[in-house]
Amino acid sequence: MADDYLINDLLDSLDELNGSIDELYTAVVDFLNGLPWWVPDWLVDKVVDKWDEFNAKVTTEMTSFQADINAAGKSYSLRDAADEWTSTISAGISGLAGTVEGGELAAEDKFSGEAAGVYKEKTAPKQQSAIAAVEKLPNVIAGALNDTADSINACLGKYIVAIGGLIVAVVSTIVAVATAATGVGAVLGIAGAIVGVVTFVGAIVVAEMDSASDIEDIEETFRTAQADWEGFDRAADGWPAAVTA
Amino acid sequence: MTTLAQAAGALEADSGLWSTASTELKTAATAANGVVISDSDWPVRGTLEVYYRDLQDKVVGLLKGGSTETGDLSDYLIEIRDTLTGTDQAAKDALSGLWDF
Repeated sequence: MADDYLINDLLDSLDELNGSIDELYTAVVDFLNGLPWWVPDWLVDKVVDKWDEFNAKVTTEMTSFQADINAAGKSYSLRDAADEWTSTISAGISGLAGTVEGGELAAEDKFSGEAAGVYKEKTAPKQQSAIAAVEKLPNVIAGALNDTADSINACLGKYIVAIGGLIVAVVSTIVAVATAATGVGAVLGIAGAIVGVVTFVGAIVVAEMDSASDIEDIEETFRTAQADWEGFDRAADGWPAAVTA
Repeated sequence: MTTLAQAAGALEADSGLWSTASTELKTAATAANGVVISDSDWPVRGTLEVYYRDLQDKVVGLLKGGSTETGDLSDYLIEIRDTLTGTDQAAKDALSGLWDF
């Protein structure tokens, strides 16, 4: 489960983001409590409205983002499966075609006659071709699974970068609110955090578009392998018969 | 000139190769059938899990088919050997022109 670290990094980033948002809330409350008496109520209301706007937006987007994370897939599980296809299945039949390859079969040189001829010229070569063809498939599947795992990790990496950007925006807002002399500075600061949320959402959309493109390519790999019967009995969509009655 | 012993030995050797192939293909089929990936492990977008299961079914089917066919071929060559080395003259005569050595 070497890929686990990305999920852990992502969860750490989310914790950091939540901590930053809590700090921002505290900064806004402190700011409002510390305002001088002469600041008009409408300006105080502006700060509160802006905070509510930010809070609603970030809550909505984080709920949606949590669903995105849950839907991303588990790269470590797919890599484990890919490893099964290569280290167990492919390794188990690797070189099998060479073992039964023409020239290795002693009987080929020792017999003549109709059935012997069919065996040498048709039966054995067809079986050899099918074995050679089936040997390749486990690695095709493993490759597609590893590509999927890579795509998931790339997407999670982009998620982490996007969260990092939002954390920067929130921390900048904390500074802006803490140093604001009047409500105007606080409103502008919180507006910056809202822009940060919008930028975050844009980054997530781009990450998911890239992921969707990767998945289309991987689906095509599966489709191509599914439709390819080279080396097998195309008419029967299966393994060529060796012995006919 | 190939002797009966050489011919029988060649058939037995080939049968052994196909038998090995049959066993390895069967083992691979069982292993391939066992690689189950939970739906929740796939990315939700796309239908990769469906494509994967379809291709897995194809590969498992081919490996099983390969095991059966190479196993049948192995058995068939042993039948030829047994006939050639047996005492049933009519059965031997039936192989004339089919399996000459």
